[in-house]
Amino acid sequence: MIKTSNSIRLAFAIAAFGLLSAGPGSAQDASKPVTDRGVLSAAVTDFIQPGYRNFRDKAQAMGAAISPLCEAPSAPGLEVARKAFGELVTAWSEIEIIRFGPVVDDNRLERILFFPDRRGIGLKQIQQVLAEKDETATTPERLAAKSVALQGLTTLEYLLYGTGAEDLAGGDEFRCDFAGAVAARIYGTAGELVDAWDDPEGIAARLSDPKPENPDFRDEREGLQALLGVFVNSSELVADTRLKPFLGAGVDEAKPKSAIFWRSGLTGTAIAGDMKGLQELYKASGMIELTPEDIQRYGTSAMFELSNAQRTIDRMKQPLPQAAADPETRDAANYLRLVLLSIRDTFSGRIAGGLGLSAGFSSLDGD
Amino acid sequence: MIMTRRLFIGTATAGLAGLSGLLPKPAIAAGKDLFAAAWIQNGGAGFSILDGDGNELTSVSLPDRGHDVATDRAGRWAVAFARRPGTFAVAVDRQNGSEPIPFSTPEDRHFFGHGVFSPDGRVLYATENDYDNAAGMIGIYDVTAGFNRIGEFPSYGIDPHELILMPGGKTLCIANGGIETHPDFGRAKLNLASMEPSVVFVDIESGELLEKHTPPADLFRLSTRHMDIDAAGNVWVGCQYEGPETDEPPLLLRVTMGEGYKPIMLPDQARHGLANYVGSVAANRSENRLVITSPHGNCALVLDTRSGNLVERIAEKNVCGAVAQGSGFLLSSAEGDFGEAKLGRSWDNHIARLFQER
Repeated sequence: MIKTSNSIRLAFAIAAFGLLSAGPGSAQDASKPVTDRGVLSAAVTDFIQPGYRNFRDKAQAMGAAISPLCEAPSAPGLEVARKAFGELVTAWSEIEIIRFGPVVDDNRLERILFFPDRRGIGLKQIQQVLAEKDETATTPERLAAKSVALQGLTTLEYLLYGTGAEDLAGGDEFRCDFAGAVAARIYGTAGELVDAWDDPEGIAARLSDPKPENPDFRDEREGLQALLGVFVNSSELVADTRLKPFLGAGVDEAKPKSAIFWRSGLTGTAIAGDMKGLQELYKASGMIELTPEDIQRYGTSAMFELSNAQRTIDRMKQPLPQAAADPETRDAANYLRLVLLSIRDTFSGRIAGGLGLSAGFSSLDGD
Repeated sequence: MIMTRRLFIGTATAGLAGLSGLLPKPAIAAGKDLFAAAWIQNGGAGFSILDGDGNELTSVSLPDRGHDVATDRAGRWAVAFARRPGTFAVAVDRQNGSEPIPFSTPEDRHFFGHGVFSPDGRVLYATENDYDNAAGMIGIYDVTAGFNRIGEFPSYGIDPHELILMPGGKTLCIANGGIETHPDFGRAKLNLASMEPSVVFVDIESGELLEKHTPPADLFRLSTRHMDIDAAGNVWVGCQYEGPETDEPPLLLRVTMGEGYKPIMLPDQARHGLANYVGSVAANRSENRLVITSPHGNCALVLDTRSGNLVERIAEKNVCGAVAQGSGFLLSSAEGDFGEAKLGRSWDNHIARLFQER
């Protein structure tokens, strides 16, 4: 059991309160019975499609911020680009919890975010491109043929915040063109995702309207399994690949530089974005309303926990990776991981059971 | 719900799913066949030795979730392995009835959940992860010295999962799943953009690579994980596909030493029902039958190993464990089904037989 700091005690108190006071899902409309298809359709139209569109728009804005920086380098211009990057990270984090469908195709996930990169492959490639001033990395068309590790957010972060990034304000033409090409690649990949999900005969239709002849979603159960899988798999993914690597086994073993987006200080932003994505999907889909009333309170409680976890991040006075290495604040960082693992267990256990799906054993975490 | 959980095959009517329950039960003396399987129950984990009717003879707790159980030919040992990325194994000595013997990997390795005994039962080989170097290893344990680890050799790939002993007992066949994982990142898959699955044959004495078979480039996300051998010595490999759900890769491969891969074409509907995930593969050599199970697709398929043709499809929620029994197969599920019995435990993905036939 973790030691309780004030914020954690408060968080658990609120979560416990949620458990007691939680009624049926808030979005429920008594006149309209909730159906499996209704939930799947709402997940698509009210979360997935707008989420990818938002990501694409932020990627476009990213490119629009880099162009003027390259044309007229300046410190304020660099700041504008960095701000756009923060918004792009937030947009991606909220929608990256969707890990099925078009994003799995053609290495899109890895192209957008090559992380974790345990052996630092991406960093080595970036440094090589910079050292050699490899012109093939400065146009999106030619960059597309290069390593997936060079085409996404971690590369862009290094260019905007890593060693030598300040030179962007002073006119490092090559670095700026490279950054522009990466932004364009992200925008391109985001556009592919939007197009795939907006295709009236594509995955959106198959998920909202499952049919036996579909290759992926043949009935409502399979659609709900995918939806449930988002909560189970993504909460574990964030706990294990975004928090665990820098938390280490103890305060002395914390590794702040293993954190995602540590250079930009956006680690907490990204993790809070993942959490917000889970909440938004939960709310938009209304999935909990498919479960019996005695199960719904677990969903409500899980969402309270996610809110508290985001507040914990907001309140941190130092970047999250540094907080993990500080004895005073480490508990709060650890607490985030516990919340996510608890979300995973709640969804793979009680909520899966409430949906009539297998209670998280081999189906959800096969080997 | 299926009509019967034990499949009786090898007759002309066997192709008709649902009728199989009407066929006579195989003439097997009760208690002759013994099996072992890992489970979880109410947050606890363990593994059991039990008969085909689900009567438990031995039940041993494990510190965390186990995966497969390795057994020697004499029926003396049953060794349960931790599921990845666990580092423990527990051996039960049925001959001496002594306390279970726990052992573990060295610090910089973890088990993948599968192992196999040498023909004489003196050595145990286990698939392991040299995770800092992203290299698959086969750990070698001396059964006669309390499962002391006496060496290792490479699996010639990453993510070695199931390994089996080829007929003759001189060659190991290892399925390298090709997926990089590291305990620092839990069970997360770290190299989906550059997976390298393979099936290799290795000399059991020298640890030297004899053959390595890799799927064609467009199937680099086809993780080769579970296998068994048919009567003719072909290895049947069940796969898990890490690419898009809309892709339709072959999920069953037949690998023959000296020849290589042959994808097995299943009828569309049957292949589709596997949800791109095969969890277990078991052959019934005397009947020329093979079963593959899919807990994701909630089904099991039985094939004829001579023709590769589908014989039967069984619908069963969360089915995964499979082993030959009599003229058919014994299946288990995470819902508690063990053959015809229903126990209050979630059975893990595999069932091992204690008295082996090869």
